Order: sequence, then structure tokens, then C-alpha cells
Amino acid sequence: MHVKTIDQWETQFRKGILEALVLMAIRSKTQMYGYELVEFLKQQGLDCSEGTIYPLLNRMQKNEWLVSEWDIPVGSGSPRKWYKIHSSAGHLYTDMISKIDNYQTVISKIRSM
Amino acid sequence: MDNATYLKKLSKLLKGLERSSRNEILREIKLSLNDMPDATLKSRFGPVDKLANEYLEDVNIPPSKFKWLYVSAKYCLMLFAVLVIAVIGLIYWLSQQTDQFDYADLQAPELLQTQWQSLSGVRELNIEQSSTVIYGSSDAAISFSCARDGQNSLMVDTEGVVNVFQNECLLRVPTHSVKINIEQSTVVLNNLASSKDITIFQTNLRIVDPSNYTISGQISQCDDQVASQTLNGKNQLNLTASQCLIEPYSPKM
Repeated sequence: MHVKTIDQWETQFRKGILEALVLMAIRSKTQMYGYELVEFLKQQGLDCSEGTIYPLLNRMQKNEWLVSEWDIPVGSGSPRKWYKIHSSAGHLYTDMISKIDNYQTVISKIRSM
Repeated sequence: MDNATYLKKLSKLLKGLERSSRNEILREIKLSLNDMPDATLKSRFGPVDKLANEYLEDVNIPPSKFKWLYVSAKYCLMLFAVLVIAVIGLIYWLSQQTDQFDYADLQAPELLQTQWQSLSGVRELNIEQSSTVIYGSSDAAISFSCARDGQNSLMVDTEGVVNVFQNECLLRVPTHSVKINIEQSTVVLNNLASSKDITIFQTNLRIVDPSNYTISGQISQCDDQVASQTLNGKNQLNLTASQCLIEPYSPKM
């Protein structure tokens, strides 16, 4: 019988929540690039790596939750791929926050019993 | 692993993605080096195969329309490999089937078991397009054993001339004078212990123990590999040769 470890549980748990956190982070700044997003999430206390976030951004873009645009600066500075929330993903964000809030309420209720 | 190798390997691992999508990923990761120039991609993004798996998650890679070509090529290569092995096996088998008869050995079982036929009064021997071993003999008559004894393959005329044509023969040639003419043949000479006049043309003449002979005569357009060995032997060969190969005999050649 396969026994699920805490790491495996966290992997599953993070999958969904990470997408929501990325949407929240990008929404808070209007647009972000990969490295900036990783650093931002780390500052907020989330242990995440670029090896997780970059592929996640790629998937979210394919799912049309995000759009990206290359900014190639004139003169100095390096080109960056900026991510924004897709115009059609507005209601998705709202629904996501609503569901997370709902889970938070349930968790709080049960834990306070 | 340096950054260039990391990117190269990642590109290879992402082959299942469309080229534009793959290039986009590689470009983004490559340019991220500007954010942390001192760190390696591996230390930032983790093992390259794990990163590739992250990118390939939820991606259904469609079967290539050239898959049939790949499969066909694979099976063709396998078939080719089998054929090569079979040919090598066949060559090896054939090499094991080569003539083990050592023509230099006068006590060879093949020679002792040979059924000889004798002809007396032979003064000339013509050998054409044949494989022949000529042994010296103390007998008065010439004796022979040929693979074919049909009218064309072995002819003896009333003038004392024996014609061997497209045949394989063992011949024992007596000490008395027999003129030997050989054309387009392979001939082994063994222990030809008397003076002989031999004419060869377009022939491979192989001599057992060439140092036993002294060869004189006219040799033109020949690869004479025994010239230095055939200067002081006791047996005289008066050889008229053209377009030939003269070499020492060694078994299994």
C-alpha cells in the first residue's frame, strides 16, 4: 500500500494554491517578470524556486490566465518577459479568491471548535 | 554543468514541444541570467530533467507524422544488422570450409588416398583454366587424378599430349622430359625433381619450397616473389612466363 508523505501532500496542495498566489501577486503589481515574482513570493514567506515558478507561468499563459509580453529596453538593460492577468481571467480570479476565502472560513470554524 | 550545457540539455528534453514554444522557454531562462549573473542555472532552477518535466506537465505530445518513418528506419536498421551478422557468419563458415589439404605435404591423407590413373609416353602437358597440383615423381609414367574426366576436361591424344581443361587435378610428373604449358590457371609445383621446361601465361604459379629450384628463362610482366630464392636450388626450371604471379606456396592460401 502506498503511504502518502507530507511532501507528496504538499505538492498536491501547492499546485492549486500556487496558481492563486501567482495571480494575486501579479494583480497586486499589474505586471511582473519571473525572477521578480519569485523574489516577491519569497519575501512574503513562501518557499518557492524558479524551477517551479517559471514552468507554472508558462502553463498559466497556455491556459489563458496570463498574457506575456517581451520588453526589450532601448540601450542598457536586459529584455524581460512580463506577465499580466489575461483580460478574460478576471472572473476566474474573483472565483478563486471566493473559494479560498470559503476554505479559510471552514478551516477557521473547524479549528475553533 | 555550465549554463550553456544546461540550456542545450533542456532544449533537447523539450523536443516534444513546438519549436516556437520551446524557443520562448529557453529565451526566458537564458535572459534570466541577467538577474543573477553569478549564479548557475542549475542552482536556481534545479536539475534540468526535473525542470523539463515541469514544463512538459499537462502537455500532450502529439505523435509525430513522421513516426512511421522513424519506425521503418529502425526496422530497416535492425534488418540490416541481422543481414550483416548473417553475412559475417556465412563468411566465417565458408572460411572454415576451405581446403585443408596441404599440397606441400607429400604424406597428406588426401594424397595417400588418391586413386591415380597412369599414362605412359606423355611428352607434353597442357593445362588451361584449371587448378592443378604438380608433384615430381620417380615413376616412368605420368599419373593423374582429376575431378572431371569428361572428354573436354581431360584429353589424351595419340601424340603423347595431355590436355587438362577447366578441371581440378593432382598430377604426378615423371623425371623424364615432359614439357608443361599452363594458361589461365592456378598451379602448385611440389618436388619437381628434374629439369623441366615450363611455359606459363596468365597463371598463378605457387612453388613449394622455392629454394630447391633454380629458375632460368624468360619472365616478363610477372610478379615474381620467389626470384631471390630460386637462384641456387638443385632442381632446374626453364621457365617462359608472362603476365603471371609466382609466389611461394603456403597451405590454406
